Amino acid sequence: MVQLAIVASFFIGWEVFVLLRIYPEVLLPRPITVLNEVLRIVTTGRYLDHFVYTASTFASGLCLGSVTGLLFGMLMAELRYVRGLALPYILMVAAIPKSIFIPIILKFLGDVFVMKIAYISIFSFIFVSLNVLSGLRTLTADYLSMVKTFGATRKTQVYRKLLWPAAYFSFLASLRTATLYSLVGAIVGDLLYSPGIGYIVSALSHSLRTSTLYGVIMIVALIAITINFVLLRIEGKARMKLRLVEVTA
Amino acid sequence: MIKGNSALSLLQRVVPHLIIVAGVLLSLDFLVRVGWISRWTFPTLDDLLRALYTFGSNPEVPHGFISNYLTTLYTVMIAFMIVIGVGLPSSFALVLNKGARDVFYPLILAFFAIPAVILYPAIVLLFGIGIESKIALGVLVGLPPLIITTTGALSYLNWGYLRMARVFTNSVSKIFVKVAIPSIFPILTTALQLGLSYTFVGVIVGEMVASGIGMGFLVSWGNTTFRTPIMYAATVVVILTALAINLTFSWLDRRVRGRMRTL
Repeated sequence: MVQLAIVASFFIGWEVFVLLRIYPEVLLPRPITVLNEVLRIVTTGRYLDHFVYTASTFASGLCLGSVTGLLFGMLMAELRYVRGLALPYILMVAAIPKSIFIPIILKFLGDVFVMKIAYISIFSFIFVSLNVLSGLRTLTADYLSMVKTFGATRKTQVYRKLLWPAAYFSFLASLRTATLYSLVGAIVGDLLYSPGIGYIVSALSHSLRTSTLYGVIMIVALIAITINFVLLRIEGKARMKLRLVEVTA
Repeated sequence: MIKGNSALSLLQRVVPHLIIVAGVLLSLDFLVRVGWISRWTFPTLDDLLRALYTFGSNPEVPHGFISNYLTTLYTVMIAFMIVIGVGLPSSFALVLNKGARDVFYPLILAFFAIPAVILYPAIVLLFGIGIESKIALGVLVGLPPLIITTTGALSYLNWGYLRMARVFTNSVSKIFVKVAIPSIFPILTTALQLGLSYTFVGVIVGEMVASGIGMGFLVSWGNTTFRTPIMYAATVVVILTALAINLTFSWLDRRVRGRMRTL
């Protein structure tokens, strides 16, 4: 209730700010105008093709990066040499602004759609691979020795009972962060190269259609908050199951 | 003896990576020279090195390299000061006041789920195309990781130390400066590192999308005007700057943790 009141106060404050004419209404529209635009966009399906485009690049990039991140994280945990060679580069790419790679990726791949998928997959790959590696490395040698003491065979049972559950739940625990940053990557890609939601937002800004601009921003914000809410639940359950794997291994 | 071993282990760690990087660059150079990769896609190695070497004095570069680089650094610095000035007190307020945490923390988490870059076109309308909009975007991108990490770090605060400090003094500021901050300093450096890295990311994205100056602008300008060596040279400079920031904080973190151990 208190949080709803705070959100309502934010909109009331916005309305008062506009009425005080600190900024012209053409640059900062009234919230009621923006909410009307949100309803109009949702009911008429305006910009649906751009939403679908962004959703497809986002989903493709997220799936590609997450699956390769999961597999590569497991490979790094298993092979010390792979970890020694690859980990510094993954950490390096994690530390730098990845948007500077967009022109380079486009030059090499040639297609905007494929470039966006590749760019978005970098985000999810980094978060998932590092988290899976971390999750597997917290399983100390004692756990492995213990399952082998109970007669587990290396190739199947150790993987099935210990390593795969740890990797899987580490993957789920990292999915929220990977998803949110992949969404950022999708928007950045669209801001620089059309089509997509980022392009629409940029075009609306250039043509000073600010009520529609803020309406689209609000829709994207609601989608992001909903995704975050769902993934928070998944992340919480995954972390609990990961602790159970460590306890019951 | 110890110094010799650490120098040898440093060489053993660094040399394979130098070989890998050199190998990749030489392979790309070969592929460009034989025509398998276009010169618009990747420059030859000597073009790239020449672009890097002459970056500072190249008259083709708009405003000159130094102006662009200093503008980016200045923008990042201002944005980071705002991130620290808003983020740290907010984090402390959230941790120390349970009521505020219960009310505001879910709202903050929900707000931080929104990709800040979607707000950038609106920010440009409100603040213009100058550095103000880049500072605003840098703050919006750098603030969430700093607040979330600092709030998490503060949950490790040893309240026993604080209670003991209250026995000796009533001054909240003295307890804050002499007990609270030193006890969480190692994790605080991680939070500051994340905050600065993401602030830098926000500024570069802002410069790439809509700017007339800055390193992000140079990368974008080099790409759109087919000045491929300059584009890659600007990319290398941005990468090295980001790595320098991270290495500096890693060094600081090691120093702080080492000092905490001796205490």
